Amino acid sequence: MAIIREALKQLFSRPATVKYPFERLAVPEGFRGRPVWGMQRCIGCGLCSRVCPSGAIEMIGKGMEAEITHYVDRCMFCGQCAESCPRNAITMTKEFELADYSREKMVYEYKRIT
Amino acid sequence: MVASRELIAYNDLKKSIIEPGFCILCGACEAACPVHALKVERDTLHYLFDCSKHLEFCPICYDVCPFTEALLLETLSFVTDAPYRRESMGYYRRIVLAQATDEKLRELSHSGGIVTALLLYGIKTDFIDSAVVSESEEEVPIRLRPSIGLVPDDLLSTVDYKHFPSAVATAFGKAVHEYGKAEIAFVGTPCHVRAIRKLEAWEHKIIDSLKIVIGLMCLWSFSYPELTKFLKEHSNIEANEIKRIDLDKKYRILTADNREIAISPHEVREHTLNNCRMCQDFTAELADISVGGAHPLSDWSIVIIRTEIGEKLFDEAVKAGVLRVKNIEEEPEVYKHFVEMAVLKRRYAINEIEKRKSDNKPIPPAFARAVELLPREESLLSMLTAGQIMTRDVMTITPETTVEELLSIMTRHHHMGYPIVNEKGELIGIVTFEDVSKVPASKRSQTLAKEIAHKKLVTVNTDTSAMEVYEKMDKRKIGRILVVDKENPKKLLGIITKTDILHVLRWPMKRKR
Repeated sequence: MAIIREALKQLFSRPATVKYPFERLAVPEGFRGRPVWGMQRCIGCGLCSRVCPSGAIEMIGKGMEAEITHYVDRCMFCGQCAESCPRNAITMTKEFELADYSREKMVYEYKRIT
Repeated sequence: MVASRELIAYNDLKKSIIEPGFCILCGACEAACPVHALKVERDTLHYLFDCSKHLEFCPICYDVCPFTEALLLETLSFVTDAPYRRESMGYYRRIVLAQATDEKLRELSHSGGIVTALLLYGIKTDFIDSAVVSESEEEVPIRLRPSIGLVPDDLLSTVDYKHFPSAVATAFGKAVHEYGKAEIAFVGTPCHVRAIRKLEAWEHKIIDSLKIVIGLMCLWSFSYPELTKFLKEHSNIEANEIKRIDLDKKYRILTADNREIAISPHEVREHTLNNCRMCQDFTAELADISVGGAHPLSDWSIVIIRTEIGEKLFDEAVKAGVLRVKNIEEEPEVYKHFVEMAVLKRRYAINEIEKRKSDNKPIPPAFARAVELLPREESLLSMLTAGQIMTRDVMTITPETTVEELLSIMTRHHHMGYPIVNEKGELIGIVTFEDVSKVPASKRSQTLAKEIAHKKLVTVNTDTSAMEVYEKMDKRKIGRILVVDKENPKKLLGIITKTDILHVLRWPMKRKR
C-alpha cells in the first residue's frame, strides 16, 4: 500500500531532473575545477610540476623565464599544485566542463608576457 | 656584495649571512621555505637536506632574510601612507604615551603593559585569533622561546620583553601551517618586523594570515653565550640566576636573589649580536604599532602608531577602556630620553659600519645598502635640484627662545633641528636636538637658543643639485641642510633633511612640497 501512496505523491511533485545543459547547478564552495596559473606571480621554482601525482604539469625553463604547460587530460584536480605553490600563483577555478574528443586539444599553455 | 644570484638562494644566504655570523635565528627562512629544508635549533640554523634536489629555482630564503638587500624598498611601502616622517622615528601617524588600565598587567610587564593589553583585547574581541609572542624558558628566564598564544591565558605568561633572540618568524609559519590560524598578530623586535614585512613584500602565501604587526623598540639584543660569559667573569652571575634585564640609561641586570648590576650601553656593546651593532632601527620603523619604555616614567609606555590597522586596534582599545593615553607633550623628559636612545643607536651603527668597511670586514647586505647609493639613485639625485625637493614651510624659532621652550616645541613637532631667524627675518643659526640634550635640566629655562646655536651654517642654493646636497650632508655628518637665497644668504627659503632625500629616492613622484 505504501508503494502506491508514494507513486501517487510523486506523480504531482516537481521532477528532480536538471535539464542540463539548458539548466546548470552552481558548484559548491571549495570545488576543485581546472587549475589556472597566474604567470605574473610564478617564480619558476618547479614545485607544482614535481609534486603533481599524474605528471600533468610541465615547466619549460626555470626561474622568472619559466613557462607552464598543463595537460588537462592527465589532471586529476587534486589541488596539490595550488597547495604547494609558495606564492599562491595557482588557483583552482570552478571550471569542470572540460571533456573533448581529442587529447591534443586538452593542453593549456601559460607563457610570460615580454 | 654578491655579483650574480645563484639558482638556489641557500648558497647565497650561507655566504652572505650565515657564515659571517649575521643570523639572528628569527626563522623567516624556515617559515618561508617551500620544501621545509631549514630549521632553527637552539643557537644555529640547520640545513636539513639539499633543497636543490627538489627545486629548479628558488630565491625565497635569501629574499626574506631581514639582513639581505632584496626587497628593502618594497618593505617600506607598508608604512608610507603615514603623514609624518622624522629622522629617528620613521613614518607615523601619532606618538602618544599609554598604559594598560589593569594595574596587574602593568606590574607584570614592568612598564605600560601595552602589548599584552592590546593582544588580550584583540583576542577577546576576535580582532585576531592568535598572537605570536615570546616566552621565557623556566630554567633560564632570560632565554626566549617563541610561542603562539591562542587564548588570553597564553598571553599572560609571555609578558616582559627580554633582549634575546627568539625564532618568532618560525612560530608564525607554525601558526599558519599547523594551527591553521588566519588572523595573526605578530610581536617582535625591529629585525623580526623587517622579516615579516619582507615576507609580505615577497607575497608569500603565509602572509595572507597576518593581521597586525606590533614592534618592540629595541636598542640591542644580546648573544646568549657571550653575555653570560661576560656576566660570569665580570660579576660572578650564572645564566639561570638572571631574572630580568631592564634598560633605562643603563642596562640593569636583576638576579633571582635581588642583586642589581648596572652596565652602561657602551660596555655591553661587545656582547650584543653582530647585526645589532650595525642596526639603525630603534623604533621598529616597519611595524603597525611600535611600543617602548617611557623612562623616567615606570608604568607608562611610548606608542608610535603608523598605519591604519594599528590606529584601528589602538583606538578601539582606548575606547573600550583597556588602555589610557596621555599626551607626550606633557612629558618632555620622556621624549628627550627616547630620541637620545634612537640617536645613540644610529650613531653607534654608522660608526661600526664605517669601521668595518675600512677594515674590510663583512657587513650584512641590508646595512651596506643603507649607507650607499645605487648608480641609478645617484643619477636620479643629479637630475633633481634642491629647490625641487626642499620643504618650504620651515619651523623656525627666535634667538630668545629658551631651551625649555625649545624642548617643548621638539616634543610637539618631533623635528630634530630648528633654524633661528631674528625679528628682521634673517637667518642667524641653527639648533639641533644634540645641542638641547647637552644642556642640564636645571639650566634649561635660563639658556637661550642663540647661546647654544651653531652660527656657521652649511647652506645650499635652490639650483644646487640634490646629489651635491646629499654629499655635503654625508661628508659633514649632518642631518639637515638649509636652502638660502643666492642673492641674500640670510634669507631662508627651505630645508632639506637626510630623510627627505631618502624619501625622494623611494618615491620620486610623491615629492612633498
